[in-house]
Amino acid sequence: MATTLYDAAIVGTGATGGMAAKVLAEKGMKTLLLESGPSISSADFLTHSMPYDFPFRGAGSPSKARRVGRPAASERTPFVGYHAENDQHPYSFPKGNPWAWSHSRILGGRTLHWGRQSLRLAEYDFKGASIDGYGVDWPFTYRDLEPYYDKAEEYVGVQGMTEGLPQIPDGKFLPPFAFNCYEHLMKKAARKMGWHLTALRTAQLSRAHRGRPACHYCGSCGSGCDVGAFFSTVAVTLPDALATGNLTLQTDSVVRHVLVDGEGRPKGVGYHDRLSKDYREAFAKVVVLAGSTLESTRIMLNSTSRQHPNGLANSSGVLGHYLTDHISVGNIEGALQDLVGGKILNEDGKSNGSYIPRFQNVDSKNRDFIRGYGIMVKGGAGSFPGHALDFDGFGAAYKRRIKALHPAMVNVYARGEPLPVYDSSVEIDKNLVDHWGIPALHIHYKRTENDEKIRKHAFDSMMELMHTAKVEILSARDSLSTPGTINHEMGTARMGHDPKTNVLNAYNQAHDAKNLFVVDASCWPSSGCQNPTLTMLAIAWRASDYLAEQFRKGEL
Amino acid sequence: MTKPGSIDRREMIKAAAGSAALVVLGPASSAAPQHHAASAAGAVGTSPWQPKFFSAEQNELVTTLAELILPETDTPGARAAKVNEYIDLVLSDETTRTQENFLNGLTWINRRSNELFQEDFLRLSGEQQVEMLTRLSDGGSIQPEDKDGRPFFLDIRRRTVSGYYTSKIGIHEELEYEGKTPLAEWQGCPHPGHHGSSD
Repeated sequence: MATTLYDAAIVGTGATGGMAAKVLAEKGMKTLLLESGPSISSADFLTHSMPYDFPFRGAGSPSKARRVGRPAASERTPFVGYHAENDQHPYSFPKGNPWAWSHSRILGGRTLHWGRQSLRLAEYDFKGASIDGYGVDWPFTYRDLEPYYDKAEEYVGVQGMTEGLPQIPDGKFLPPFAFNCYEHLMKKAARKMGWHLTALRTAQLSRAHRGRPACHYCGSCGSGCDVGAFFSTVAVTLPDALATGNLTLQTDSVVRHVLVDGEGRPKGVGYHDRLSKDYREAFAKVVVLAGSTLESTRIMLNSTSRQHPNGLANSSGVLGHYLTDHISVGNIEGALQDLVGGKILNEDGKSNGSYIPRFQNVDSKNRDFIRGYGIMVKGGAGSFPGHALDFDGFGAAYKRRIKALHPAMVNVYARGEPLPVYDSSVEIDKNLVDHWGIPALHIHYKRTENDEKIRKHAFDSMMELMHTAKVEILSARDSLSTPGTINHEMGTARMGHDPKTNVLNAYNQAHDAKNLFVVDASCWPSSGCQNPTLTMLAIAWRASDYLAEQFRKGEL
Repeated sequence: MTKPGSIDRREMIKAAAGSAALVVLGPASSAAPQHHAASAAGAVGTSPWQPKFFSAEQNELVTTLAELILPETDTPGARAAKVNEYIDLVLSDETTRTQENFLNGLTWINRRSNELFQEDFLRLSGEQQVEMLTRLSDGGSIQPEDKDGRPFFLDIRRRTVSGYYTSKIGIHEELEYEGKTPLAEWQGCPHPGHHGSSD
């Protein structure tokens, strides 16, 4: 049986793997795209299901949740790997310092159910160190990435409002979804505080776009979109990549490590068949890792050899270090007095909310902390009255109060920028393997004082906003999220010009191995406070363009 | 009063069929279950419903408590929404410790009821039942003799809310939920009075 030598092998089909596949395949490279999990298509989703369609009302059985974790037990999304099962994908962390990893191991990865929030980073975010002295700058500027932001937004389709705010640069938007009542009222309150409130920019289509149908506002994005009206690999990048005829998709292939030749040069990957666990190998001239931040780094750490004793392309020693996850403060939930007792409307159909962009360290320097946070503003009537458990009581009066508050609910939470530190890191846990016998990660997260300063400021700001909006506050959490909870893992294979202190160069190319590229968020040298996916797509596109050009010139 | 958590395996497998079926599918086929299998698994069959976990008396007590928490008003209450069936199903799959905690709570209710009114809870008048729950329902003013019942009150209230507002009655009749309705256009807020000057 002839073994194919591909031009490129890409590991992972999440946002960046899918984007790399589209670009490389369209550039004419014979590309193998490997996915650890099973296949799935938009038509499989139970998008329009209701809770009462399921015995456990969608939440899944308690015993299953105990075995695989609550997300993976969901009856709404009963697909293997949609949320990675705890029993197949173990990891460890120090006692008292938990990491809550919520990832996916299925075709499309987390693009199947992500929050769709698509915000650009700004020059402030790429040049943080130059501005306030902390950490390192990115090895490229906003101007360098801007054409790729334009391309990514235009390709993916992002609805949003143009605001002219430097901290969240405007993009190429589709018409924005109209505000719900609570958003108008919160915008008025924000204005009184001197802040801007804008539609949360999301990768959802407000009109038909590039052959894809517009959103039909069924409010079920979390169950997977059965018409592909929000960006996902399976709805957007994968079909385009397959249409070229240059892409071979291979699911159920759990990559263990990158293979290297006698000189330590990457030559392919070793993987296990997901079901039989049999070990196999695939060969390519260029290897692209896009397994998601921690998985790509895990593969590299598991790929030791004589030339790479500390993990693949790790002569700098920083592989596994500088891990961050966005911090979340809150949430604070309450009832807008102006809306209590009103008619209950369809408000969750657009599955979207509003955003108050970072207002700290914009016009003036905050004396307590650097960088900052944005505030998410969500609310409106959904199907379940979560607020019912926020107050005491029972009986007819309780039932009536639940209903009266239902159309008035608003909740806010802040998303802040964590500062990367060397000691916030991952390494291989020598005593733990996953279902396929692949060594698992030990995750040791570290916060900084700046996180705590942001927490306090954000909580106080949000309380003031809620009071200004005449909200009767029903619950207020002032703690920081458990690391990992926000699902925005960044760092551990950071990019920078200096090979002594960085794993990758400005084009996501490994300093130590020019035919190895790592295109997911493991490359991030700092975090910003904006949701990362749009920036990841732009970076992956840019890196793939560079890769294809270098390949064409014979440089790889 | 307590009953060992004996689970009918056949019923358990049927109930879990929607979520457990996926694991055996091969790599070439899609990972999706049949949608109707998920709803069929939990649907009422040809025989009347029987609890998997509660005894008949426990079931009646739970049904009564749920109806007191979310009663019939201008819309049906927890009894009509069959919240007891949902609570029974979830508990039947819980850990022994969680099951015991819940059953101990039911035991406490009856013991307290006898202390106050010399009768089991189900034999009290409607007013007496409301009076007993009122003792548990204000976290700020619980009497020492009632403190042990507070965690159980919160737990059964949470389960009742969960079961009621995920039922057809709770979602469509009580909350008049308008969502999950495909729309051609998104209108947003219909009240000009809410809109700001530059919105």
